[in-house]
Amino acid sequence: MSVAKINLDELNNEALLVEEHESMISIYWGRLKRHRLAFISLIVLALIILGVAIGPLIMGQMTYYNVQKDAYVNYARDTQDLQSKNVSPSSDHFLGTDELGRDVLFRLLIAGRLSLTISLSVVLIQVSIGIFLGAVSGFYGGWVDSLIQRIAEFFIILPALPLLLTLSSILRNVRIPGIPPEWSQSIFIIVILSFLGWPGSCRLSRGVVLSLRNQQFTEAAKALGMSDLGIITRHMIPNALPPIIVLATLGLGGVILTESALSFLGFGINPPVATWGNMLQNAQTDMLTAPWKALIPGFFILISVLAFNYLGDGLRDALDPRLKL
Amino acid sequence: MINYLIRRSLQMIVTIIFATFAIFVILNAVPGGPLSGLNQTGNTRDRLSDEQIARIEQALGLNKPLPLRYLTWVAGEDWVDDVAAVIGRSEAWANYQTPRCIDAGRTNAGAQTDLETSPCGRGILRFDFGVSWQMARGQEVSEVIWGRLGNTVRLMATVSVLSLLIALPIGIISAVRQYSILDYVVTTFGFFGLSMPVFWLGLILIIIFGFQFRECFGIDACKEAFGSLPYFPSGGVESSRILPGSIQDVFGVAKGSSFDRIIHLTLPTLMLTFASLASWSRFMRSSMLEVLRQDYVRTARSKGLREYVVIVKHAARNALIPVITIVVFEIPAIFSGAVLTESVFSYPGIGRLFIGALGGNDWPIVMAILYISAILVVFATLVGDILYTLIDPRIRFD
Amino acid sequence: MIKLKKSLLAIVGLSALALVLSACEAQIVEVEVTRVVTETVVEEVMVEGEVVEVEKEVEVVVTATPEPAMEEEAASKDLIICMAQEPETLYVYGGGTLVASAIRHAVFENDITTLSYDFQAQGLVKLPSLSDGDAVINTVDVTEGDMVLVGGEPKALEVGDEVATADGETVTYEGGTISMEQMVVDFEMKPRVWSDGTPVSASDSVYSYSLAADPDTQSSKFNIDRTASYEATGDLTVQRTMIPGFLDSEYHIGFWGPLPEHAWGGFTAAELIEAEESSRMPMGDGPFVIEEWVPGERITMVKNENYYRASEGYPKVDTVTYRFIPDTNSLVLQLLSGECDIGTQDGMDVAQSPFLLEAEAQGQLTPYFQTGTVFEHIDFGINSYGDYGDGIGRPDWFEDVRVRQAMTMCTDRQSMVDNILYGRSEVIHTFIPSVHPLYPEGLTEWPFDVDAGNALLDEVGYVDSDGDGIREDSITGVPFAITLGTTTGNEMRQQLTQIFKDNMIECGIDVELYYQPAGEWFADGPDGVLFGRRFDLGEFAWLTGVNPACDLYISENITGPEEEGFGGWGNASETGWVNEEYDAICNAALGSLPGTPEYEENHKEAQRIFSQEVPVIPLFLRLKVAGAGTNVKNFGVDPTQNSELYNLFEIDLE
Repeated sequence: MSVAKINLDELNNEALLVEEHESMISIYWGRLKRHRLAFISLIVLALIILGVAIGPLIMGQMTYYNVQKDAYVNYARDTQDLQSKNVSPSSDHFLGTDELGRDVLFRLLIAGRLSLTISLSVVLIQVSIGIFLGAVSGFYGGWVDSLIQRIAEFFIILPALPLLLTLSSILRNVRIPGIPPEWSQSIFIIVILSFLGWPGSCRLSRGVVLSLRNQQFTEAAKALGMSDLGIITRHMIPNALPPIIVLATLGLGGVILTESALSFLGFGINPPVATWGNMLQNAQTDMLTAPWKALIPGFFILISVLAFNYLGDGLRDALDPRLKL
Repeated sequence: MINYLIRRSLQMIVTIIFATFAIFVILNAVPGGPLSGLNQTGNTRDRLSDEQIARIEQALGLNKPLPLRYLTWVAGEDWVDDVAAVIGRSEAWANYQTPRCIDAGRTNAGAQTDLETSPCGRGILRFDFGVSWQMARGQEVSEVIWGRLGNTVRLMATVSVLSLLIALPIGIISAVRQYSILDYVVTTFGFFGLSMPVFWLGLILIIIFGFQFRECFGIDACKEAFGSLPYFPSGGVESSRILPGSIQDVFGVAKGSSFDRIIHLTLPTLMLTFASLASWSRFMRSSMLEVLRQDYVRTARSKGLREYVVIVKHAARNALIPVITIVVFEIPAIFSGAVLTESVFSYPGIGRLFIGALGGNDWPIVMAILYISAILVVFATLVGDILYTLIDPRIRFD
Repeated sequence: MIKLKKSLLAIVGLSALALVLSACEAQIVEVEVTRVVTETVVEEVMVEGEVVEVEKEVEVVVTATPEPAMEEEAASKDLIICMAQEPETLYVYGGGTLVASAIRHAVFENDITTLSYDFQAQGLVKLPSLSDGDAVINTVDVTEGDMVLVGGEPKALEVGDEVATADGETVTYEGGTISMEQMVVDFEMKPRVWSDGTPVSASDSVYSYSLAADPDTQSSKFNIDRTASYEATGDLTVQRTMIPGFLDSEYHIGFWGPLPEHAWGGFTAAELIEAEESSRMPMGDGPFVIEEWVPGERITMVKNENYYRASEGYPKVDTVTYRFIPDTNSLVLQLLSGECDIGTQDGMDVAQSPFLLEAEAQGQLTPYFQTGTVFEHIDFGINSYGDYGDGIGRPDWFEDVRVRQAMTMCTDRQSMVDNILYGRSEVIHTFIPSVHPLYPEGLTEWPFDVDAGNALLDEVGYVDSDGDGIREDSITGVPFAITLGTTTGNEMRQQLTQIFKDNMIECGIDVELYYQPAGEWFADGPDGVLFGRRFDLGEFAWLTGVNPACDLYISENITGPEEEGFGGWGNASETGWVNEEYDAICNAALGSLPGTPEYEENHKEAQRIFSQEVPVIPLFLRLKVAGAGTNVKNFGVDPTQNSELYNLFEIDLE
């Protein structure tokens, strides 16, 4: 049998840790379950995601009595009711109303959709960029490595704030046709945060690839005429995945916090579109008279970020206990 | 190694040049800018003429093309006329120096050596960051930053030291007792800090320790017994007067004394420490877990050493090494401060200065802060890398 | 008047209110044997749970038999004032932010105050007036080459220029000598004293004038260019001679507040912008002297022992400390705890009203709510610039006055006042408040009437033909969906725009909201959205002064490139509204002297046209919210005096 005829897939299976897919996943799963708080967090997160996905749909079927309009109004219309603003929780409004008399629960759920989507998209994009560039950087070394690493450094130095400010003014009035304005508005935040955030995962994947580069299976793959891209995508990246999954999970919470901080400084997504961050920011002036108003969105942020952190922690213990993140 | 250092240093310089130039371009790309709105007044009496606006533009150096503007920021403006003469653009470049510089004969020669009195800008290479346009109009940027630096360094250094002192033992304990109740408790504590929006936590702290303590949480029995609980100041650097019942009053601290300042630092420090605990303790925990699996730990144990000795003398020591290399990365933060904390606690530090300068289009201050932190980031990265090699000889630089 | 925009105000500092108004804030002193001061004190009285504002006029007779020395006080009185922003400079010609003027009130004596929609002399002996003879209009002969006013602009007289002669005719100058009117005004200062003991002299005012005139001073030269000479005529008197043909409607306040020439004389005008002596620690003739400025933290001042009214017992307190507390919640808490005595308007927010009222009820502090001359309004993009609007598929929604009227009727402005300002302000119908002396009778005051609004829109031909609740243009079928922008980070504006959006839905108009950072929102055209005239609806505020600002809406002031016949980018009128009748009447009002019937009638008529044409929807007056400890005396917020610290010399602590 000539060398060229060796089945590359077979080689993959032999050479990689991923050889026993099923069993590895069940081992990881078992380890994750040992981390009780991580496991609970997973359930909490599932509930939150389910809640923001389905909650608004359910509320869209329900109506309440709107005093200002003197009529029964669907929750999903997010209508103002200036006659009953800032009311405390009641059977009409489970979490009360805000400063314009809108239902806080509905807004929280809608906001959750946006906050979680932004967070997930940002992390996905930045990890994809980071993992690929990191692998390329580590695999080739030399000037490619230097260049990519300097670019990463460059992005670390670049300040997020002026960038957001500038790009927001340029992209602010750009509407992406066919999607609601709030999503169009979030897209620039997603893009900017992603582009500023990739160096972290880049360094991580570079580190993993560096350690794998000189191992035998890499050389074998090379000898078998596998293309560099093939080696990177089929051998390097799968190995770099576990630590990056951990990093990404921890990053999910970070993005939610960043979004709220941006809102606090007035650079976030604008009302009337609700995000957890701008709901919290709006409640700030009422902190002295109605602290509970700020407590509710703050609590949601806290719980989901906490859950992401625990999950990330649990995943680290399960996937790669030596990972220092 | 020496080669590597030289190469890295050169690359660092290039990175910094690119980054600062990018920031320069970004600032200039924002609609608005320092000259916008000069004339947005309905009253014709308030109007500036075009010549006046041109003069202001020239005084701020904004009449130059962008690359030249960047060059003068870097290298000063006293050479502009000479270069113009050499390349035969004397006429076109005639207004590319500030009026003050032109009046002084387009040179700093003959002027005193200190920055304040030199008529032409000297550029950051000669340690001249220019004068503030907005935050403290006409003041030397270096002085403006220097005035805030003390506050920021005090806050951030305290936070760094304090959080390390707390986080490291927590990390060790939770590694040694992985998945115990103790591990969960300390982890949870740290994670709460990590998971809260900082400004939200700050406001809550202010309301509890500043407001509700004074109001005794509205409990009458408490009010009758104590009047108020010893409450904390809700922001600032020092008291302007000592209030009855406040914590300074209870301890008899004089206003403006260093104790007073420490009391003002307490809440922001608490908050930031709380927020940064988790990342340190988790790092220490991982590092410790790794070390505990090593053979020499097993050997130490098998030799019958007491568990305490094994952990403190053998494991913790070695686990600390990678942590130390990470500490280096905190250096830039000690300079650039904490924007949100400083805002919430009305603490005059670099972070707040930066946000203010950004909002007020005070580009010299924005550029100076970014430039200094860029240098610190790059420097910290370099030091971190070098420390790695010293600790782990397996890592080579090629 | 200055456009009110929080962070831009900061920038505007560069331009500064150099003109007269800022000169008023500068300085001058008074010493008089007996004087009668009329103060308007606004008090809030609780009447059966309702808060009613009561205005009292208090006459205080101040006699100069000063209480022999001040009684020995056990402890020094320290006044602590907390504000949100730190001034960028204290140099009079260096910046005109509100906080800077709040601090200058301590350092410099006010020459002129602008209380209750009028001007008063404070550091001057009196305001000159034509009827008293200290302002006169002479007839002078002018020849070719003399600086005169031609068509509203100063220029050297040439053959062919159209000028107004002393007889009131407009003639074409054909050479030789003609006679024109020339205004001469005399000002007299009270015998004030610089804080180092040097008496303030008339030459200090002339020095101030020469600084204002210097090309390196970044302030408007409007008054300078129209002044033929400004000279000292005695130790305390100056005389301003205008150029022939310029009859200044603000002649009585055209005074340049004295600056300490003996201390600053060594600096050039350019150096003064940066010098410590002028921008950070200026010497003044006011009640206090700066002792220390800790950047970002505080400015401390001590009583000026040389204050010219020291013998009357002024200032009342021994030290003043200005502290900078950017966080509103923090500031209110410190006011409550007694760490601050006064919280100024830049640091307080109307959203805190419930908390402030509660604290007042418990006797912990006194809040002040005062409507001023800052009014919020939603502007129609009637004539947009370039290819925005009209050209790109959007029907010219607002060209028809009935649409503007209908949308005004659809706006529930009272609900905005009730909900956002807690009912403490009032809806306005023109660009001045109803308490203004020039508020006209017969003004069109549009009611909130959704039905009438809808009927009017139907009449124009915008009807909802597809039943989606949104009207369409009958010809193109384009839905009546428009955008409304304003600044980001301002809770009041966020709320009002959201209420407006809700209101418009009732009238079949879909409004999408967007918010921009102030620096961007107010950026000059063509970059800026608002002043580049690239918007459908825009919300912002104008700060007007004592005089009605009809010139905000004249067509000469439409923003746009001068080459194309507009008023230049960075001009004031961004609606693009053109009404020749209004232009003529407003210009007549601007060109007439206060106190004359033309002045009054033209200003009133301009508002009548404005309210009928509604180029903007005037919403409400913004509130100035300030707070003071219950032991603070003589503190009050005035509608037209920008800073509430104008009378710092008489503020006292019990």
